[in-house]
Formats: sequence, structure tokens, C-alpha cells
Amino acid sequence: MLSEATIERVLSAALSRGGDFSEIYMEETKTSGLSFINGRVDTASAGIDFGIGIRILDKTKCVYVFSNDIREESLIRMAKDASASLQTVPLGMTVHLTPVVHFNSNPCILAPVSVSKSRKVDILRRACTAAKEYSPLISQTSASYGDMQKAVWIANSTGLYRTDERARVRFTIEAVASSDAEKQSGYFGPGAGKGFEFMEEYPVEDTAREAARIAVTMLSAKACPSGKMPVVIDNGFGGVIFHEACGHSLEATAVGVHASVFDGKLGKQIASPLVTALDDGTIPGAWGSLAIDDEGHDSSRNVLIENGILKGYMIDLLGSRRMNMPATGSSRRQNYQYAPTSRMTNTYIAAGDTDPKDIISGTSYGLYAANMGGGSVDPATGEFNFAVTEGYMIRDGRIAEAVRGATLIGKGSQILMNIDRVGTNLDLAQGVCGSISGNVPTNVGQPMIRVSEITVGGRE
Amino acid sequence: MMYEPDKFMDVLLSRAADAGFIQSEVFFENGRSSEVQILEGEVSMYESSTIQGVSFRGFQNGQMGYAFAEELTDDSMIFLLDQAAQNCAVLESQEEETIYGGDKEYRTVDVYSRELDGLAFDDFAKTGLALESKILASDPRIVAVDHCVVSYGSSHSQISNSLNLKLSHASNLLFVYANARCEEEDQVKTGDAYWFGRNFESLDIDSLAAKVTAETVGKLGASPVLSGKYNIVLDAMAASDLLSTFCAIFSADLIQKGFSLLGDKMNTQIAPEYFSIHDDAITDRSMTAIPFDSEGVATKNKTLVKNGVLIGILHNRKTAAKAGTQSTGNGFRSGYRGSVSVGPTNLYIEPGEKDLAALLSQAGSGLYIKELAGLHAGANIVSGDFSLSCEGYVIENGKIGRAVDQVTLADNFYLLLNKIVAVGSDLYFDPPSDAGSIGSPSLLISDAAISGD
Repeated sequence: MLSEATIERVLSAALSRGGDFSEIYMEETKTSGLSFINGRVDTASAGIDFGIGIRILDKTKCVYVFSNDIREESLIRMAKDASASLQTVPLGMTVHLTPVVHFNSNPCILAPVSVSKSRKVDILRRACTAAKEYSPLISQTSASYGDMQKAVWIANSTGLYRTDERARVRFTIEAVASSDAEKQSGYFGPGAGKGFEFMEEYPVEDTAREAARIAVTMLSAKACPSGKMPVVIDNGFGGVIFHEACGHSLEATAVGVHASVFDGKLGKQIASPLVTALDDGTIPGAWGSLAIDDEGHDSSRNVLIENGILKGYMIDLLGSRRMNMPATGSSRRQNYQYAPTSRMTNTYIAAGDTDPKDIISGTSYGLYAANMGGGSVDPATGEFNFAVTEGYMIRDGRIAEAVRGATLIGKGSQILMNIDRVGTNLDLAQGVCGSISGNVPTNVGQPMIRVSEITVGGRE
Repeated sequence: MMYEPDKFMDVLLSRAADAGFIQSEVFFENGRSSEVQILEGEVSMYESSTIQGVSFRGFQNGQMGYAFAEELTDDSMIFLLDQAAQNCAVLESQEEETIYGGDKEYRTVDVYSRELDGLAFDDFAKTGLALESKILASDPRIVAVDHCVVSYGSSHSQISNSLNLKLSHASNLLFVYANARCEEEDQVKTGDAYWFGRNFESLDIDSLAAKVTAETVGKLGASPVLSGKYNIVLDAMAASDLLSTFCAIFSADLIQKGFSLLGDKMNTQIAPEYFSIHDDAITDRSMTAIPFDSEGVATKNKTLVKNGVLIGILHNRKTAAKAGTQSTGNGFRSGYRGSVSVGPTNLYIEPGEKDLAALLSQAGSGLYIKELAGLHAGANIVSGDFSLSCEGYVIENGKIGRAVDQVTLADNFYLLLNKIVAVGSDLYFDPPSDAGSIGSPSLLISDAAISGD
């Protein structure tokens, strides 16, 4: 590791030829992974990532350099070259760090690196066995397990020096059901910002049987109808609709350069009055939580929308300079190979007061999206898409026949206004969000909601 | 202490033998990258990196264990050998994965440009600034260029193993991209275009800027069409994206494990007789070429679908051993973090005779689809089902008409193959990965399900 004196010298060198702010992000990440296919351990891997990124800001200009070479002379050279590329006049700053403060985002009872691989394999064996035994139609099973323990050191020219330890575990299960000519699959991927204790307490078999149930159900499902219709989206991963239709467009990455449909809309009605939405990085042990963000600032609970009124954005340091608003502890990156930027943590629509049963019974015709896949969005236009992986028609207030997956599309600004029911059953689900600072773990979430009209990408 | 790469590989192989690995291999990769981003007439971001990583795989107890690290130190060696041994202990693979001693000959490729490697910050900045200003000046409806990026990357990989195989490969590429935003009567649209290559002189900034503008303002006035079945012309770029998503179905690994519906389709008709797919590691048609795969097996050019009949699939050494055949040289890993899997090189649909205008004319009426979105979520490789957001234009009287947005295209990839009516001549390749690119010409497809108003 680098001494405080070395860090101070590198941070100072980074400002020696230009720039008003410098930052070091150093990381050591241990990962291990296993895949289990059709009843056997298929792959097993492990690795260590180790590297350092130096960022320099000059107002809203940014330079980012990274390397695995942490010898002081290399870092000083890299920092000076980066500083020179700003082509401005140096301010002559010398950096003095304040005493280091240690954080532990995810205190573990069972640190993943300390757990034997055979105990990890056991989780996957249990999952695949349960999925396989669910039905004779289940022809293939595939499960994977991954964990990571990450140590980060963050220091900057304001004197901030903080470290954090982070841990995450996740498992995925995919079950495939086959008929003579067709295959359909069901999938879940639960995880947490916890140690291996999460896996030991998790109902692995129940989730595996759910994946198998979806695969079998979809095998006999008909193609989904096409066109605009009311859609009831269930809780948990259904929250991907808010993540895509709104969340990305509230990130400073888009708002700070006026490339968001929600730019300039603070205090304005952007969603139905039934909608209150938050981004909360402080939920203990949650998949998207952090004690400090990747700029070293405290993670926070940010109200984005309250009763349909836009209350706030997710802002990093660069975004705060562009927007002239305070940062919100929202700066994240996949690893040292990415400069940090504004990202989501645990983002969800808050619980409403309608009983989910009443939402279904109050819908005469539409689609019930029971489980969802991922999606994407263009924040500048708000045009988004996300996939339904388990769907049913609603007829006369009852859940009717299963229909095969269809993608839902729309424009965020319209869809948010069209949310006309919000249920009581809030739940969060785990995803991996990809954007310009790489892939980061994020929770999506919502209670059951109904959208009065949305385009359903069916085949009939 | 920090080792030099060659020394690290030699010492690690020798320590692996001492640690009881019967066979072992080291894969080392280092890379350099530089990127300039332009915003509002200034360099808003400059990024530069040098990174390296090493992956070890070793054979013990009948299994091949993997581990990777980024520091070339003694501590890393201890970690790699220990973790690989632990991984061998839990693996239950029935097929043996073994190290390869090498081929007699390897083809030579030229995918590294020294000139490109010599470009500096100023070259990147000048290019990006010129591109941004030309786009902004091109049309009053363009209000911003939200992303304007000039990016360079080089990669150098080496394989060294206990059967005395030593191979190395270097490649580099320049990538220039811009995404613009336009507005008209409350409608906002974005569009993009890119250029990639190794000959900096051949980058025509004017034509790239014109392309970005055309892709952007062309979308103004877009609205959905009615839901229904349409003749569609899937533009070459969109067709390549769709093929990229589904080309894993040709992997022997997925086929053997039962995750591809091509399992029992060998030597049967899966597409019309005017449809063929190749996987050519080295071809004049693509900018990427690779002489050997990540296992050191010499790559080949091969045909997977010939006149609609499935005649070949992609193998690495492990899947080939299981099938009682030879590796096709498709054992690739995605960098040092990944283990050897099965992957394509330059996998593409053989172009036909008709240009885009002829396909549009043959379609008569329908939709010309230029972009597909949400491929990572709205497509299921196992079932072949997909439902994707798309943008494009109506086809009227065989010509391009008004812009279309907020519609989806939904079908099943296996069924779609048989609805291809004509294959265009305009073969296009997606931006490449290390091993190759995915390519397709434009395709005329009948009876495609479009959902809209």
C-alpha cells in the first residue's frame, strides 16, 4: 500500500501543472466464482484486481489515468503527465491529508474469502437439484455463484482520506424447460451486500423452483398480443421500469449536460401524484448500498420524486460543478479502470396504499407482468425498453392465460404520469447496471403498480 | 519484487510443476488506452491507461483450474497456484481440458499499426473538436453533441505453457464516435455514428459528421405505425446486432450442454438456400484477424451454414474432445479474467446480390428498421424469442418514407431465419472485439410482428 506521504506527493504532483482538484482511488478486489451446469461444477475461478486511478479536475474538465503500476516514481510521472494535459496554469497547491477514516460498508459474519469452495458448491448443487426435480420438463439447469471482497483507499486534494471494505455475494439460477421443438427458461439472481451468511440463510431451493416454474409455464404460453394496453407490473424486479424510465434521466451524467428530459424540472410535476421515489444507498446490507461513495463521501438517502413532484437528482462532484448543486453521495464506478460518475444505488418507488389484489381485480383487460428482465434507456429522449419474462393476460379482473415474454416500451415522461395504481407490497431486487463508469450493483424496487397505457411488444 | 512479464511466466510455470500441476499455461495481456471526450468546444475528459493482467491455468486431479492477478509479484504467484489448485479440487467436469503443444504453422496477420500507436493527445483532441463543430454547424435543428469520443486501444497478449508453446499477438484500433441531439416542435431525437480503423489518414471527419447529422435529424417527425405483420428490411447494422446476440447458438459448448436448439439440426435445413454463415478468422472482408485462439490452436476459415444447411459449429479443445473431433480454433477467453470458452472470430452472413435500394424496392411497402434497442434484455438465447424496441422508416412504393419510433419487433430467431426473403450485398461488421467482428448485410424479412399504436 502507499504511505500517506506518497499519497500527498502524488496528489500534489497531479496539480503541479494544472488542475484545481486531484484524487486517488486505489483498490484491491478479490473475486471468486463457480458455475454449475446440469449437475456438475463446470468452471471455478478466482482472481485479484489491483490498481490505482488518479483523477484531476479543472473546473468541469477532467483527466483520468489508471494503471496497475503503483511504484511511486511511476505514479508521480503519470500524475504530472495528466496534469500537463489540462494545458492550464498551475495553482501551486500542496496537499496535506487529514487523518485516515476507515469504513466498512458490509460487515461480514462469514467473509467470502474465508469460506471453502465446497460450501459454495453446495449452494449451487441444492439450487440445481431443486430446479431439476420441479418437473420432468426441466431439461437443463445452470447456476452460478460469485463473491467479491473489495478494499478501497480514496484520498483527494481537499485532505480527505478514507478507506472502505466492501463485500458482495450473489447466486443465479436458470432452469430450462423443453418440449419437442422448443425451449423456454426461467431465471433469478438474488444477492446482497453481505458475507456468505446471506447464502446460508437464503431459501435457495424456493427460488430455484420459482425459476423452474416460470420455464415450465412459458413453455405452454401463447405469444403475447401487441399494441397499447394497461399493464400491471408486480413488485421487486418490476422496479426496473423506474430505473430505466426515470432513474438514468435523473443522474447528473445526463442532467449536468442538459441531455435529460428532466433537466430544469425541479419542483415540477413529472409523475402521477401516487409516485414517490427514492435512491437510498444507506439500507444496511442491501445489494446497492455503500458506506461511502467512490469519491469518499457519505452515502445518502435521496428523495427523487415526492407525490409526483421532482425533488432531486443524483449528483457526483463533476455533476455538482456543472449543475451548481451539492453532490449527493451518488458517485460510483465499477473499479479503478473507470472515472466515477453519478449512479443509482437502491432505487425504488415507495409503497402506496392499494391492496395488490384490488389492482388486479380492478383491471378489466391488460397484461400482468409478473417477472421482469432488464432494459435500457436514452436519457435525452426518455425512450426506454424493458423485458417481461413472465406474463399473463388479465381478463375481467382475473389473471388469465400465460403469455410469452414481450418487451414494454415508452417514453419516461409519459409513463410516469400514467401510473394510476401503487400497491402496498414494496420489495427490492438485485440487478447489475451498466453505464459510462462500468457495471455496478444496484437494487431496483417497487410495489405492484399499474400503468394505464403502455406499448406491449407482442407477436400476435 | 515486481517481475518483468517474460520472467514471471517462466518462474510461474516452473513453480507450477513443483506444486504438482501436470500441465500448466500462463496467459499474459497488457494494454494501453487513451481517450478524449469533447463537450461544447473543449476537451471535457482525457483518459489514459496502462494495464496488465495474468491468468494461470493448471491441470491437477483430472481438472483444469484457473486464477488471475494483475500484479507480477511472488505473492501473486502464490495466490495463482493456490487458487488454481483449490479450483481443481472442486471441479467435476467430465471432459478433460488439456494444454496444447501448438500447430506447425500459423498464418500471419497485420492488425497492429505503429503509426496509430504514435498518435498523441493533440491528434485526438483536434479530431474530436473538428467532429463536434462540424456536426453542430451542419443543421440548425442539431442542438447539442452529447457524446463525442476519440478512443485508442492497443492490446498485446502472450501464451506460454508447459508443452513449450510460446505465442504472442498484438492489435490496436482507433475508434471515433459521436452522438448528437436535435429538436423540432417539442420532439427530441438523438442519433449517432462511428468510425473505426487503423489508418488515421482514411478517417474522413466531414463524412462522419454528415452521417451523425443524417442519423439524428432523419428521426424527426417519427411516430409509431399500427400494430401488425409487416415486410421489413433489417438494416445491415441492426442485423449484425441481432446476429451478435444469437450467434452463441453455434457454440459447441452451449449445444453439448443443451442450451442451443441447434443440437439436433446438423446437416438439416435451418434457413433458405440463399443464406450462408461463415466464421473466418482471417478475411479481407473484416478489419480484425487472429492467427491462433487463446489455447494456441491455429485459427481457420469455415462455413457454419451453407445454402441454408447447418454444416459446422464452433469448438474449443474441450468440446472437440467430447465430440470426437478437432478444435476449430474457437477457444477464446475474454481477457485474462476469463476462462477459455467458445467464441466466434469474424462470424458473418454471406452477402447476396441486391443492394439496399433493391431490397427496399422488393419489399414494396413495410418498415425499414435501422436500430434495435434492449438486445441484452429483450432477447432470450435459449428459446430464440426476442422482442426489441426499434426505430426506422416506413417503406412506401419501394422507397424510404417517414420516420418511425416507439414500435417493437418481436419474433423467434430460429423462425426468423426462414422468413428471410432476400439477403443484401451491403455486408457490414460491428466494431470488433479481440477475436473478430460480427457482420451481416441488410435482410428482407417477411411477416414480421410489429407492435405500435
